[in-house]
Amino acid sequence: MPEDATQERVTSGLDAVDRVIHEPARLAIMSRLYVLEEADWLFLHRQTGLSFGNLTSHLARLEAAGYVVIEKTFVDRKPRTLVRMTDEGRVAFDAYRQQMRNWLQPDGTT
Amino acid sequence: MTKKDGESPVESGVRRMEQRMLLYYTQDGLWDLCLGACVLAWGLGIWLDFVALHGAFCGAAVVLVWALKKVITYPRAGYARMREGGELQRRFRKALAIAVVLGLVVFLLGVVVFEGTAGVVATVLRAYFPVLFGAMVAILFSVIAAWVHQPRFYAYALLIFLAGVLHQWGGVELPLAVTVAGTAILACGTAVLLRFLGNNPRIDEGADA
Repeated sequence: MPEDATQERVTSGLDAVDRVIHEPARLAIMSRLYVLEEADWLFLHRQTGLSFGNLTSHLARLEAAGYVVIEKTFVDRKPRTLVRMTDEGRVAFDAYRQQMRNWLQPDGTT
Repeated sequence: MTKKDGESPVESGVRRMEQRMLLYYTQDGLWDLCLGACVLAWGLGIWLDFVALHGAFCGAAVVLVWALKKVITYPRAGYARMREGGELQRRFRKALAIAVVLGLVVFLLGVVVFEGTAGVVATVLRAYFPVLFGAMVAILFSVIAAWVHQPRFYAYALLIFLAGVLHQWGGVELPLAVTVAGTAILACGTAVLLRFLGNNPRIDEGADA
């Protein structure tokens, strides 16, 4: 099979993939939030291993896409950031899962 | 965790996340300490004749765990809450239902044994009460172990069962066997807690790592 054709087969079906979620750091955040009701910023930092700056910027990107809501509060005069996946985020993540499932079917069909 | 046939990496990733969440709930060793304290109190209760207060003690221990989570766990590992109606919560409720049924069986077993009920069944239950009771508690611990995917909870179940067996057929005093089992669980819980504290120093939000 010519190289171009192979490349085309590999990438076809991936064009429609949500790139906001597909980025590894954001996928790590979304897959954690997907199984939870809410989590704070420290939990996500511990679970994903992302630095605070990275985590903040990726959360801002997800918030801008409407996939998460970020709530800043104070507990004992210390800042606390709670993150929750929105219904829109849940739908988008389900769609992403379905796309990846289709794309990774064992028979190679996309 | 094994990957199911035909499951995509994203699917297995989501399942792995669920498992990691369960690990999160038990990584601090506080539930181990709670179980150990309840078992130890049970053993000491038989010894010192305050077993009637055991239920109240266990209730207080559970409340204490929730309080300690706020002081020990959340400032170190962060805070997360299970999704309402999610897979984790469904499994938690199933485990809780099994635990309640087992608790009722143990209670009825106790009533039959200690209320002087006549009959062959009551006589057999009375004769094998320690090992049956140990088996029930062991099953309860196994349900917890299966839910949280933590092999050490199976070891706790085995310890409790062994306490009953040693008393029944080994001639070991029941309070001694139960107290030893409780102390062993407490020691293991303490080790898990110390490891958790060592691996997870307190971090204030906003301070970059």
